[in-house]
Amino acid sequence: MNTEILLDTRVHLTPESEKMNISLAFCVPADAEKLRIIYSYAPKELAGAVGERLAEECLLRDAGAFRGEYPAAASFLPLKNLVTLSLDDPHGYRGAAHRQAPQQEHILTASEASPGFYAGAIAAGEWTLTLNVHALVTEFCDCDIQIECEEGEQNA
Amino acid sequence: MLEQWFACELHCHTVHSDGDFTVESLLKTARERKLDGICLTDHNTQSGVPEAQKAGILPVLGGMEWTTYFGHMPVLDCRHDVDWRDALPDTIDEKLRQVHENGGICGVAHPFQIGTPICTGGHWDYKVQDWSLVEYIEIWSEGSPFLNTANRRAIKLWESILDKGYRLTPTLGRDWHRPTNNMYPAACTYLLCDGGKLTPEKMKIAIRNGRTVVSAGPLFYFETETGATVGDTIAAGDTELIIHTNTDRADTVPQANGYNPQAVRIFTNGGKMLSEIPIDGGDLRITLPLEAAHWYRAELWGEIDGKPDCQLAVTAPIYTE
Ligand SMILES: [Zn+2]
Ligand SMILES: [Zn+2]
Repeated sequence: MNTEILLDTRVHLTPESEKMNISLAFCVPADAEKLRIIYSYAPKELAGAVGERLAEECLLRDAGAFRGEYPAAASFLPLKNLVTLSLDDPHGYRGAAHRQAPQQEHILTASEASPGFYAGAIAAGEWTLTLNVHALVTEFCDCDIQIECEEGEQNA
Repeated sequence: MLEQWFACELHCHTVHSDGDFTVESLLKTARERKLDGICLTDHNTQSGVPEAQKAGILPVLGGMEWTTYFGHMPVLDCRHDVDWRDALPDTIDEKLRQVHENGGICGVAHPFQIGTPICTGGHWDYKVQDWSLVEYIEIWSEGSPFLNTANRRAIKLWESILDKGYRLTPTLGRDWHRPTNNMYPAACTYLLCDGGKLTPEKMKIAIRNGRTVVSAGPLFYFETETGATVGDTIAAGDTELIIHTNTDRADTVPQANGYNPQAVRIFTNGGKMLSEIPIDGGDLRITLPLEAAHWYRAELWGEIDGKPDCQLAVTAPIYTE
C-alpha cells in the first residue's frame, strides 16, 4: 500500500472569515482507493469579558424586544469557533462533518465513509475540501489540514 | 382508502452530524415513543439516510437540514444535493427553486433561535420573496410556545405569511439529537395521510398539502360535515366544524404527560381569536360564519400534568375560496 500526501496546509482565520467558505483544491491520482482527512483547529473557545460582550450583542440582535426573556449573556459562555468541513469530488457533493470537535479524522473509500460523508468511487481529478466558517469568535484561529490517499496494491 | 393520522417527528439528527444517536438508536427510540415515521435531517448531509431507510424499523423520509450562515432550512426528499454553502439572504428564492426542480420540499427550522455565535446560523435571516416556494415552518421547536418566546414569535411569523395569502404548513421540530431533551415525550407532528401502511412519500404529500397538527400529545383536528379538513379549501359562509380530540396514542407513550383538554380556540386572519369554546371530552360542533379568502385554524388548550393554561395542540389552517 502506497501512501501519498495530497495536501498539507495551515489556514489562518480571523473574525473577518466568519460566514465564508474557504476552498482547498487537491488532486487525487488514478488508482486511489482511500482518502484520509486529518483536521484540527485552535483555539476553540472564547470566554471572559470579550465573549460576554459578543453574546450580549447576539442576544440583542436576535431577541430584540424579547431580550429580557433570555438569561444573562454569561450563561452562554464559552462561545465556540465552529469551522466544519465539506467535501466535493470532481462530480459533486460528498457530504460534510457538521460537529463541534476541533480534532477530526475522516476516511472515504468506495464502500465506506466516516459519518457525514458519502462512500463512493475515489475518482481521479480535482477534489475540493471546504472550510465552512460558521463562527469565528477569537482573534484568530489556525486550521491544520492534511489529506492522504492510499493507492491500490497494483501500484505498491 | 380512508385517510388516517400518523404521529411523526420531522427533525432528527444522528452521529452523521452532531447528534448522539446512531441511526439505529434514533429509529428504536422513535418506535418506543410510538411514532409512525420520521424525517432524518442531519446537518448538511444525507449520509445516514440509506441506512435509516434500509433498517425497516419505521418509514424514513430522507432529508438534510441546510445549516447555513443565515438560517437553518430542512430540505426533504431532494434527488440531488443543491449547494447550501453559497445561499445568501437576498437570493434564497433561487435556491428554493433549485430544490423544487429536484423534487424536494423546503421548511424553515426554529426561525427565532438565537443565532451566531450562540447557535450558529440558527436565526432565520433569509428574505424570502415568494413564500409559495416554502412548504412548512416549525412553529414549535424544543418546547411549547406557552413556555418559549421563540415559538410564540414563530407562530406570529407564520400567521403574517398566511395573512399575505400564502399557504404554509405548521410543523413541530423536536430537533432531536439525543434520547433526552426538553420536549414532552409524546409531542409530535400528526400527518393526515392515505390509510394503510405509512410511506415516506405519503409523509411528503401530507406536509406539502398542509395536512398537519402540531401537538404536545393529543390528537386534535377538525372537519366539516362533508369531510373537508385542515389543508383543504372550502366555500365561505356558515359552516359547521366538528372538532375531535383524543389522547389514545399519547397516553401509551412511556412517561407521557397527563393531558386535560379544556378549551378550543379558533383563530383567523390577523391572528384574531374568533371563538373560544370550553370542552369536556368527546367531539365538539360549532357553526362559524367563514369569510371569503381567509384562513381558520384551531388550538387546543388545557392542563399538562396539572399545570393550567397550556397550549396542547395547533392545527394547520383550512382555507376559504
Ligand atoms: Zn437547526
Ligand atoms: Zn436541527
